[in-house]
Amino acid sequence: MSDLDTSLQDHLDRIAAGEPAEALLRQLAADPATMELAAMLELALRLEQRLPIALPAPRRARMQAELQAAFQARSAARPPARLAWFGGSRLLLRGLAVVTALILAAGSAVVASADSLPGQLLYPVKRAAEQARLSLALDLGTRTRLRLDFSEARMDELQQLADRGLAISPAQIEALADSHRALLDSARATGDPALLDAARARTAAHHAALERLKPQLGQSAVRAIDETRRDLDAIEAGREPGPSPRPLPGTAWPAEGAGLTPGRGLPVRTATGAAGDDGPSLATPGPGSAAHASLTPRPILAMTAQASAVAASPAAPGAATLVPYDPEATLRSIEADRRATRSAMAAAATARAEAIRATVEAGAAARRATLEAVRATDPAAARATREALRATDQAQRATREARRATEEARPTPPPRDRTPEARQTRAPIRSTPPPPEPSAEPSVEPTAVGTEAHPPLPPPAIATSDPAAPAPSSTAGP
Amino acid sequence: MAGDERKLVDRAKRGDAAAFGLLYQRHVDRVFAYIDFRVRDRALAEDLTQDVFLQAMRRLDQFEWRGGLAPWLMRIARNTVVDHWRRAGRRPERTQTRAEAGEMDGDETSLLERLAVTDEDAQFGEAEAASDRERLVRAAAQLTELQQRVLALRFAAGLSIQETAEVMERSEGAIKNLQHHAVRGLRRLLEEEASAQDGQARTDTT
Repeated sequence: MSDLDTSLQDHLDRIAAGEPAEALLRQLAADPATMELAAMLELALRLEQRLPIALPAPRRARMQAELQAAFQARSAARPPARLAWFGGSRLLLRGLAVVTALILAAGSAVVASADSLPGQLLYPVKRAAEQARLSLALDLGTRTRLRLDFSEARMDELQQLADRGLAISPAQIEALADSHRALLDSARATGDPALLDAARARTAAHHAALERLKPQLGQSAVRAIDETRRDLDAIEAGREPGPSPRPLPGTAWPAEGAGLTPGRGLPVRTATGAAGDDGPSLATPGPGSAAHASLTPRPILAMTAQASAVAASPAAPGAATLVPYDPEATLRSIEADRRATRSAMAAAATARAEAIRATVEAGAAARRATLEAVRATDPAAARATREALRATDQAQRATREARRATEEARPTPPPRDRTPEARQTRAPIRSTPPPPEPSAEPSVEPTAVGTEAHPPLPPPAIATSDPAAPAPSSTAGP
Repeated sequence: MAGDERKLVDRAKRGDAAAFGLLYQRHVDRVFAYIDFRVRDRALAEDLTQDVFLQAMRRLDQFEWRGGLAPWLMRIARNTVVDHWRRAGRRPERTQTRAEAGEMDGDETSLLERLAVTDEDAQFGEAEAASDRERLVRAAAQLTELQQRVLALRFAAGLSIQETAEVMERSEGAIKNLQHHAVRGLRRLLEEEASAQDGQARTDTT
């Protein structure tokens, strides 16, 4: 083969690499030796330009729809061999096929949604996809790792919004805080110290990043940052087992640290304490040690009851001396306190369960909307997506409402070391009437989502008499 | 891009219809352009394009990743075209002599037979109305079978030299060589056509 045989392609390659075609053609045409090559190159460029054609769009859409329908029918009719062990259970197979098809149909929207930001049309799809991945992850370790990713995604979204000069709403801050809570819960449930450390480090890093973002944010967002962070720290502090609750690593308050009030505040820790934070011995006594002391578990209700009994005693004869200890009154008082606490917590639990149910339903609705959007890109699908968005908003409002109700349910505000259980402990979903299953969905799917959203949990235990009992763990794997 | 496509292929193999849809979107135009170049009939090309993807769907399990889906699809496209010609060739009016079979791949002989008919039509009314593309495609139809295939794969389907070599099971050097001769041959055919029209025009005016 001569050089000439490949020179055409060589020149095409040069043009493809960015060399201006016209100059090259002129240069070749100027030399009689390469004149024919110039003409050939010109023809080749003309072929490159003319020969590709596109299938007309309507025809293309119809053919794609036909193909995908055929593909699904085929997948459903011929399940892969690895499903063979389902044996003769045709119904189960069919159900699986339908679920698979539904999930897969959402695939393209999910791919497209990966880079979406809050407020964009496909953002709910992104979040729904995350939920779906969570519900497919069977072991706690995998879930925790997913939650690490998702929490990072929330932070990344905030950062991107800020970078683009877009407004950040308190709801977005709360979404990040929720991701932290879920992450820490999940990490703790694994019982794996490495994962818990990773979760804490990630949370701490995000808090640091949020502090850096603050100057760019509006007042409400800054307030939301402080509030959600305070909540999280309080929960983390209250949740720690053992006599000396370990503080969340890296949760040093920036400037307001000095203004810590006992009961609300936290032991001050610097981010450097994040590594190897495994023993109570590492808890540095510092400016927050007063708060530290107040966080030490003790029989709060018994003590307050006794104190109130003391205070309530009418000016008895010989009031100058100590009021005699009345065990009967103390016990009655304790009982009353306990009853009040129990009913308040039950109410809070119901509200929370309701909110969770609403969230699950909204998730299912969002998923349905996604499927619609994938099936047909038409105004109806857009409407459905908007409706799902609204439902999600409502659910979020309900969750916030429930959280507030839980706050109010707390009998004695200052000692947070025991009472946060009321808010930490998720109510078992079965305590409320079962949510109506979305009829359009196969029954398998919502159940899977439900399992993720609210693992079966023991009802909140009210520790009053036994201070040594460890706080009930709030998460349990299915 | 390639890794992305590989993921789509894997998903489609697991029964993911949406992934298959995305692969369709990515490749349908090149398949359509290739087939249209070969059969020179839009409606027929649309039908055959759909056949190609139905075939691809059925055979996806057998597909082994070697850097891209396009060469595999184009091989299916080529077989689909050949099958179509075979079916069409059974019709009495299509069976003609294989005078030019010397340089041909065997299976695709009836193409030239078909073209012989359409070229007659083309010499009359159609030439003026034909777009530049149609002129190119028609002229290319007089090239040898291998040259036509190279042009169809390289320029209509937009494959690289390497991908074309994979489809045609030849070395890259051989493909470059074929392409060179195809373009040179096409240029001569176009020149002949132009001068023939020129001559025709001159005799008309005198």
